[in-house]
Amino acid sequence: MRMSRRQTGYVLTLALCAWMTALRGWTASVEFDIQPRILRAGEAATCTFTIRGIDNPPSPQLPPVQGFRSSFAGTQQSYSFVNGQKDSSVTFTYQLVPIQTGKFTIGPLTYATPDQSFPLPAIDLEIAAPESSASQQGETPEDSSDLLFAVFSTETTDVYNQQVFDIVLSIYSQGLNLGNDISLMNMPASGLSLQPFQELQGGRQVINNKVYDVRRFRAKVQALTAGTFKLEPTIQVPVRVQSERRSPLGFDNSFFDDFFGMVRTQPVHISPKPLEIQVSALPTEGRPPGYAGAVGQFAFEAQVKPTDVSAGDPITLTIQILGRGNIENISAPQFVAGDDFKVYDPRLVSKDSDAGRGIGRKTFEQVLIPRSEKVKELPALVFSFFDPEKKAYETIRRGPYPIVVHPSSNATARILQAVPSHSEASTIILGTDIIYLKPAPARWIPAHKCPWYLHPAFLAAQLLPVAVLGLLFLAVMRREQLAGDVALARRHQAPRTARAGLRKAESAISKGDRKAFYEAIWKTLSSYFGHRLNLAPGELSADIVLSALNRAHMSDSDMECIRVLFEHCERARFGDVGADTVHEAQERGILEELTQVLRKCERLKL
Amino acid sequence: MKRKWIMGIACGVLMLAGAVGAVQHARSAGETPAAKLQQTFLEASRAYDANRPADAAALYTQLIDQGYRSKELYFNLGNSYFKMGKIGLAVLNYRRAWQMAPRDPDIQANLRFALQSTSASTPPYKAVTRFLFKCSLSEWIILAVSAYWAAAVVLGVLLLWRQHRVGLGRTLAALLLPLALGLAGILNVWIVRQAPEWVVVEPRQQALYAPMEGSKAHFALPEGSIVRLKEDAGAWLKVALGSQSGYVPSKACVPVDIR
Repeated sequence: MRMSRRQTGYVLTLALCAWMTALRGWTASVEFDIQPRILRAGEAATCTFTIRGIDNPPSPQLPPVQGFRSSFAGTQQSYSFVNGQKDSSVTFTYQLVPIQTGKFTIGPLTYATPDQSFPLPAIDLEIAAPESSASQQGETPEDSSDLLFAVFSTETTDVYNQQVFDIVLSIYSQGLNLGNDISLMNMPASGLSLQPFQELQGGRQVINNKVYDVRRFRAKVQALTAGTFKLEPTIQVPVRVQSERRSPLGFDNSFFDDFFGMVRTQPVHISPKPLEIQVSALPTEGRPPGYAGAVGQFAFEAQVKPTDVSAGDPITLTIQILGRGNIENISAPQFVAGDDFKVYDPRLVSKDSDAGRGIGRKTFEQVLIPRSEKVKELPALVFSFFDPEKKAYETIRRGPYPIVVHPSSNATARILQAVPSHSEASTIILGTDIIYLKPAPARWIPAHKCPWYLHPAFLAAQLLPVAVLGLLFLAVMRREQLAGDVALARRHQAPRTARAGLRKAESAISKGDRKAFYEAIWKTLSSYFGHRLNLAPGELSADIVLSALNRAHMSDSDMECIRVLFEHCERARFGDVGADTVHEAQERGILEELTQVLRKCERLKL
Repeated sequence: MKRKWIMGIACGVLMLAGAVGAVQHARSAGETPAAKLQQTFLEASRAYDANRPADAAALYTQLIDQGYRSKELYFNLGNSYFKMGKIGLAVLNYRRAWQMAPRDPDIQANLRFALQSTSASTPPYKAVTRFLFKCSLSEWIILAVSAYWAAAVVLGVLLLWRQHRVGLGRTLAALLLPLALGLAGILNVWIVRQAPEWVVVEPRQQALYAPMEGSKAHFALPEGSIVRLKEDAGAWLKVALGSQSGYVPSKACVPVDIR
């Protein structure tokens, strides 16, 4: 018979409801609490009934309480559904205002529903008398040590070397808002090893009829050497104080004060009464042989596996030490087996420690190999420690452990690498052998004090790419600059073209070709000044050149020289060269003159 | 113009080759002939086979003292010490061979085997460090330098022919990976050398809380343990093995690095 989809839905819903109802029934509980439990007359305490797992719980009835006036302050409901578990709670709150001083007990009470009832424990309350009117009104300033002080305490001030013990720092404050960054200074630098402080649950305490808020911190301390140690630290406590400046918005509210920085932190140094700790050396009397320095209370267990082996087979001895004390310094107990066993060093395989609580556990494994089938048992293991509470050494003995050792079936296969008996450390290697020698190296390269990668030549060579890239970069930049600036490019081209022209003129002199000589001179002048003045080939004339040279403040004589050169060239180029007879000396003079003038022009800014 | 560039580069290459040749020539002066070295090596191997590991160790050590260092020499010297029962010295030489050839399976196997034979431990390096130990320092330097030169060439080409900048840029970016990897490998070796490895070569050693005889033992250091040096206090060394540290006599340890 098949169910329809709707029927399936009903079944699932019913199952869910049944499961939730069952779940709700399991988690029903009622909590009763009053905070704070120590208060001054005039302060109010809050009493809460938190009812979980009951739908629409009836309101609890707080009976009349002697010394208090109670009033209902409200109800708060909350629901949560986490990992398939529903949790609902209803909190009924009452306000209790003390009307007389003394110690009072509220309860025990019973909270009852139609189905079940819950017994609630009694709670003790203490109401301190109001402080003297003088100090309240501020007529005489209160001593700051009354408002804030600290006390160092320990269970015992007589401890033994290596003992781990607690010290508790209690900070008492009255009406102060303390920050969290409390620091200790001037603690002993040596002799005591101090673990970080952990904050315990705080509370209130009445001292001299004054109610103090108390913050407690606990740290584990280990004595490292014998001697007397005086703990007289300075404690820096940040106290949050109201700034005198008013809030810019005029609010009188701590949230806005915090938000707008109206609250500042003032570090206050307090010095608790010094605490003297006497660390005694461990007694030598009664010290068991093989004692390895454990101080505290410990338990010790050992396990042997396997117990049925062949000679030469390994047996693993697992040793577990757990307890309270200097667990960090504890090593595995020494296994004394004589020649019957090959014993390897114990190996720490796991370590769990809670430095704050001073408890921990260490597990060691040690491999033992029976050398022959005559071995019948593993000798007993002994672990000793000093118990500072009993002030005596304790010894725990485990074993002996019976084992069955068969003759080795294939001794040669197991004991492969035998070494001389004088080096007992590793005479037997099990299971396999080391890999055989390697052949001689293909090349014998001598090693030098300076490896190849630190050789100066190698290091210097690494600069080469950077240098080449740098030069290349500069060259490319230059090329791009010249490509984008024609005038500059022509300026750089000018001396090169002039040199080429002068070489041609020299050649013409050598050949005795006067026309070619003047042609070369003209080309030198026109190309040089054309490039320097960035002129098109047809634009160049003697007037333009002389005008530019004049602006550049060239001397008159040099300008005259250039003008004459232009005239000579004009005449020679257009047929007025005269006889073809070569006046070599004269032309060399012209050439020299032109070279000098061009050199001067190079230094001018045209 | 191009001819000038080619001439300049050719001159640079020739000068470099000349410098390298000069260095090689200077190095080769005073070397023992290879045949003699080969003969000593074979004699050492024969001594090992004849169950005279002490003689073999002496001959291998003689070659090393002459300035010849190779993974084969250290490996075989490690084997000789192992056969002599000197596990600490065996581990030391296997570790030196491993530094030269970290991926050699024979070296890895014998090193592991020697360590296990005394339950000795090695420093617990992080996964990144273990990965970077896959190559020797020389290999990382060759990788980094090759990538550096290749990147320089690509960058140079990129400067000259910018029209191919997309392809060349990708090539350049691809070269940054081996360059970064090589530099990471070099940096890793440098970091490890800040707390260099030492090997405990004496049996039954313990790390003490204080550098003095009779001080309380902190933890055991089986022969062959590879520890890291935290502080050299003369006759005592402060060494670390994992999170623990303590003092051991300096005569009981030998540094792995040979510099």
